[in-house]
Amino acid sequence: MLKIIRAIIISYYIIKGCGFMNVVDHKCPNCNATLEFNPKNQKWDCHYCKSSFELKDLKQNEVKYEKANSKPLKDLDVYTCKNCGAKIMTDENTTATFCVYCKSTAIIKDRLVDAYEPNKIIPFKTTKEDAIEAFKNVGIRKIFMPREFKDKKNIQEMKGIYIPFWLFDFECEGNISGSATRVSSWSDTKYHYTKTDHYKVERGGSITFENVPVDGSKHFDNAIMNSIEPFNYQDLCDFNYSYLSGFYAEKYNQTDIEVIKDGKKRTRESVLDILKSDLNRYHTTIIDKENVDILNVKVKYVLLPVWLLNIKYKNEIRPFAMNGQTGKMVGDIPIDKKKFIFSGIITIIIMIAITVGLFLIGGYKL
Amino acid sequence: MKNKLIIFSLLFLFTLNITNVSASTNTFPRTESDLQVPSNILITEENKPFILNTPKVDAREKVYDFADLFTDVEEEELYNEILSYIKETSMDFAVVTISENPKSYFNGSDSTTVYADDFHDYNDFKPDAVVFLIDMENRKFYISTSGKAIIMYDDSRIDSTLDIAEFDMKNNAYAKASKKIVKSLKNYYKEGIPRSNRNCELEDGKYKCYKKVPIVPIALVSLILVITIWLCIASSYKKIKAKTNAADYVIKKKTNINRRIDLFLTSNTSRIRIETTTSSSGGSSTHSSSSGSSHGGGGRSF
Ligand SMILES: [Zn+2]
Ligand SMILES: [Zn+2]
Repeated sequence: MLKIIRAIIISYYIIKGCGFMNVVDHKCPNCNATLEFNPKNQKWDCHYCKSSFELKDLKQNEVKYEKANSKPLKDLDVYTCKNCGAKIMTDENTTATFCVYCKSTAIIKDRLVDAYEPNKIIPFKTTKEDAIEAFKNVGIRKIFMPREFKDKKNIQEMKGIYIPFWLFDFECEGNISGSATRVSSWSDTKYHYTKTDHYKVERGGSITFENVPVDGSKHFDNAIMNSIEPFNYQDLCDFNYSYLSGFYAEKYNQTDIEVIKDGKKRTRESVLDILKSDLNRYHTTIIDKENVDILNVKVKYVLLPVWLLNIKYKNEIRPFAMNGQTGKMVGDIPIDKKKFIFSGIITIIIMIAITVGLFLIGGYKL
Repeated sequence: MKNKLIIFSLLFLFTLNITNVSASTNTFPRTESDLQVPSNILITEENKPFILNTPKVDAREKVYDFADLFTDVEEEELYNEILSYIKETSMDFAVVTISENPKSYFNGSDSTTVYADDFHDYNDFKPDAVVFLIDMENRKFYISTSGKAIIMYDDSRIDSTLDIAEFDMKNNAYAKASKKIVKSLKNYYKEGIPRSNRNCELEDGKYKCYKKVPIVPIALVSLILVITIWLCIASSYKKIKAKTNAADYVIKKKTNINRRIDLFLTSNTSRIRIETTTSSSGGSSTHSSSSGSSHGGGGRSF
């Protein structure tokens, strides 16, 4: 009898859950794509990021998502690279002769389809000469840089590109809890005392982020775009075709939904950092529960200016990029391994010899 | 028959006399012109009086019972014990008893110490030697070490050896105490050089301790330091780094930490005894004798 009642209650809840599912269209908490109910495991699956959720996960995560509107883009040429698939847009006065990403010359001019106007743009504030000068200064006081690395004739290949970026605004709610200690110590003539006070601690609050940038280009490593951050968003202005003249612009090939994960990850990390830093009056903390909910997301599509130079060194393309607004230049400088290791060993030997010598002078014996 | 008896008794007396030779203590006179000191001793105006009031003895006798504290049998036993010590250690050993001490204080060493040190220095003992002196005038007993014996017997070994003998000394069992001292020092020899004197040596007869260059820690620290610096240099060549947080994009005005719970649970206090650091400059306390050489050792009153 009890078993039957229990079965009825359980099936009631299952029916209730299903009914709820039909009414609300759920978004994936990770990537904001629309979720689909999977009857097999009674869960909601995301086809974009391949995660699945239970109903209780979704109720907490009903995210409000706002995306700025865009008009279709027109009057631009598009060059498609046959090698890497990059799509580079130019106005009719600018031509492309090789792919700025992979240096392939196999590029074809095409009709622009399915492209949208960015909501905002930061125009270039630096010239090609500035970028070339900045690249020349790379490796100054870098004694382990192979000498031949900068004997390159292709400095002139420096290209100004507007890179597609998604700027996310996140409104977050975070909470952490755990245990913490405060330690004080003092001494008398005989003993050294250590007093440890144990606390149970919790911190929570709302934290807002604006314009967290994530690039919408597959051809660019996210790390290199992270490295030329930050851009000064005060220069963001409404998009106008005339800004593109003389520069390239890449057509985005990753949508906001595809890249939001990267922005969320960084945001989540910062929320936890901020909450943890509020515990800095303690000497040790152990966090055993942490939770970050993103309540509201706003996203806009912008173009940000980047100078790009791809250097081919020892059959490897090394990208050097400069923030076209602030002039910050980044890129991995190669290291002459022989020089690096040899000088390290010499330094160790000299250090040992000097220290031993000092000890011997001080009356020590070998 | 009578003749035979006389011969026997004469023979008996003779043999008694022979044992007496080894038991009694022969001294040889020192004069201003012939001080009879070992060739390595430099004679000065300062140490001349010390030489003159140090008896010159036969260094082979080993037991010098001037105060007549031992019976012949005891003397014999002690002598054998010392021979075994010498055989084991190839160092020298002498037991001296005195009823009067003609020495005066020298360089902060009391007269018992001065007597024992001089007794070694101005006789023909080996440079590496122990002199055990029972000074009945001052009612003190003292172990003087010279040469390698300084290194072999650090303060703690001397101290525990004196502990072993103290009870017998206070109960006038001088021979027993002396034997125990010889035995104890022989046993310590078997244990090797004490840890406290590992880095000590004799330089021209002077006891000196040095510290060893900590070569392994130096190498290790250099290695770690250079590797760390070099890795830092290498990472400065790598300018492309993914950002893991969004700290640049926090809007401070719209940030509000409004939940703060700090619940005190318990408190506990621990204590550690403060260790007083002892200097690690060797384990034997030494002093210079009138001859200028180093001696170690220690003694007590009884
Ligand atoms: Zn997803
Ligand atoms: Zn390409």
